[in-house]
Amino acid sequence: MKKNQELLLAMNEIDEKYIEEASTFKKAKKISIAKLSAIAAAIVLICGAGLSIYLSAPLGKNGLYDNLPKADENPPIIEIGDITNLGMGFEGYLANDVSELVNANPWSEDMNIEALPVFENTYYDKSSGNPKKPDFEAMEQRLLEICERMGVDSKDVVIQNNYPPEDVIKDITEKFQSIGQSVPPEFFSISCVYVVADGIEITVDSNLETQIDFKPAIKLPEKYNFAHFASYEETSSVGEYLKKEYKDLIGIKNPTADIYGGDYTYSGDQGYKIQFFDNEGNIAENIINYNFNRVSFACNDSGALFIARIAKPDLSKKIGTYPIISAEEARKLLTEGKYITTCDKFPGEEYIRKTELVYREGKYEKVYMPYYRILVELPELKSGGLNCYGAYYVPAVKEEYISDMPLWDGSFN
Amino acid sequence: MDDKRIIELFWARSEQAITETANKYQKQLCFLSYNILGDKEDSEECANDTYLRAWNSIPPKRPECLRGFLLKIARNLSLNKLKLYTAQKRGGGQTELALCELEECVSSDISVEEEAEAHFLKEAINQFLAELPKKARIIFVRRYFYLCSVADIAKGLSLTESDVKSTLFRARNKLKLHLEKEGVFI
Repeated sequence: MKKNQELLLAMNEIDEKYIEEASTFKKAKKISIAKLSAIAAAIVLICGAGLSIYLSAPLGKNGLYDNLPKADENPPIIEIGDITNLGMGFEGYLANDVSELVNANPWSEDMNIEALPVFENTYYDKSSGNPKKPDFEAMEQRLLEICERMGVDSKDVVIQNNYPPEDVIKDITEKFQSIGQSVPPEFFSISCVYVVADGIEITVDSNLETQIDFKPAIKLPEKYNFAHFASYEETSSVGEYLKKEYKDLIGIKNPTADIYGGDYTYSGDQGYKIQFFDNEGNIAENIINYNFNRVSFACNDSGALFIARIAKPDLSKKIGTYPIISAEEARKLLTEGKYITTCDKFPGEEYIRKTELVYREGKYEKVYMPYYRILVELPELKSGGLNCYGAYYVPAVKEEYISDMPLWDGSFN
Repeated sequence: MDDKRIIELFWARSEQAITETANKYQKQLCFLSYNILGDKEDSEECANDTYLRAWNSIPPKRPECLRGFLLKIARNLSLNKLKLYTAQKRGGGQTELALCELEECVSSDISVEEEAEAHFLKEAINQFLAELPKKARIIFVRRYFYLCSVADIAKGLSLTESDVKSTLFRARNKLKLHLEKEGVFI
């Protein structure tokens, strides 16, 4: 047997605690058919906190439709960029009917929203196409802020990072030198800072995304069923409990629970997840908060709270406020092939099942802009009596302001 | 259901043990198996075979960590199946095919030296993992136990692929040094 094969097989004998550790440290944003059910069970944790005012109009305090943003006269042309190589999984949801797929998206089709802001993704380096250098000061500041919110005295904490130790650096440097090369720039880099405190570990990455690991995981009172496949009602009840218990961590003025999901795994299990967003302000602000200002909680397989996550995308660089198209116009563009999807070719207008407005906020998006996410029934992917609903994204910003309007070219895009 | 309770069901020879195991671990077993075989049906078959193996092993075994125990079985089954497919693909390799098929029957046919070497290797790898920083360890285990792609690991841990690659590169170097130091395998 070859040595590498022997090593691969020897990995089967590793301590089970490491298998356990690696199995629970995961998250995913979508259910992936290609990756079967593990991604479905993974924790969806897109969140954020402390969003400031980013809309061009002043905050409306009187009602949902007060002071809605107006489109700029000549906003700059937007470049969506190449998002074909972002490692996105197949975004499809299994359900008996599309009505089972729920969330608390504040947008609805009857709203008359004429314009929404578009932001530069400051994490993204335009020239290289790679993430920018981490801002360590911001990372540490964020870490200390979360420490305070978790009741950890920031004066007592020791901030650590994942920079490799000297001996490793020396070894690798010598290895490169031995083949006549130098260590590539940024090879030794810090990608996260963290603090270990009593019962928790707080980690902030270079995108200022924060994860709180509860160690050990916290068992909720007996009456709450915090499990992957708890019912909607049970999950809502857990949400109410978490909202009160972790008020400071959530740190949102008017936290609204978003119990979302309702899709099924291949095993036929239906599940929901919990996050909170700020529902304070006018409808445009609610949309921004729903997409960017969220705090999520997740259970482990034993039904105990083991992770909370807070994301805080930097929305400080607004490109402009853009006129947006209607949902009906978006569906027409979908039929013309002007969409982004990880599913197959759009099967036809008769299969459109649901439309909602969302911001795509992945860290590799060049800009944070609104899209219509249109759920389409995929008849060829029906599984075990369940329908599969694929997500198709059509830019909500008017086409004349986009330099590289997506056009489906027969591949995953 | 709690793992201890599931193991009790196995010991009580209750078929509910299989149902409960599938309910709880089907996803993870299929996920790992799919990483190796890249086929939905094969991965489901491996998961089903895993339950059978577990049924035959418990009792007498009483695994401390049921998840790890099942994942190890699924990984072995998947690697064996992959080996079988690889042999089939070579065409005409019937001897290899037969050897693959018979491998299960002769699994205990290893020398004392090989067994000792395997034992030392296992110890050395566990020691190496214990010394790795947590994040690097998770990346290493997800790559070389779960056999996840770099892209999936990066996505799962909110890292860039280049972060994952450089962590793996460092970890492999560290493992090589560790094995050399322990006098194992080199």
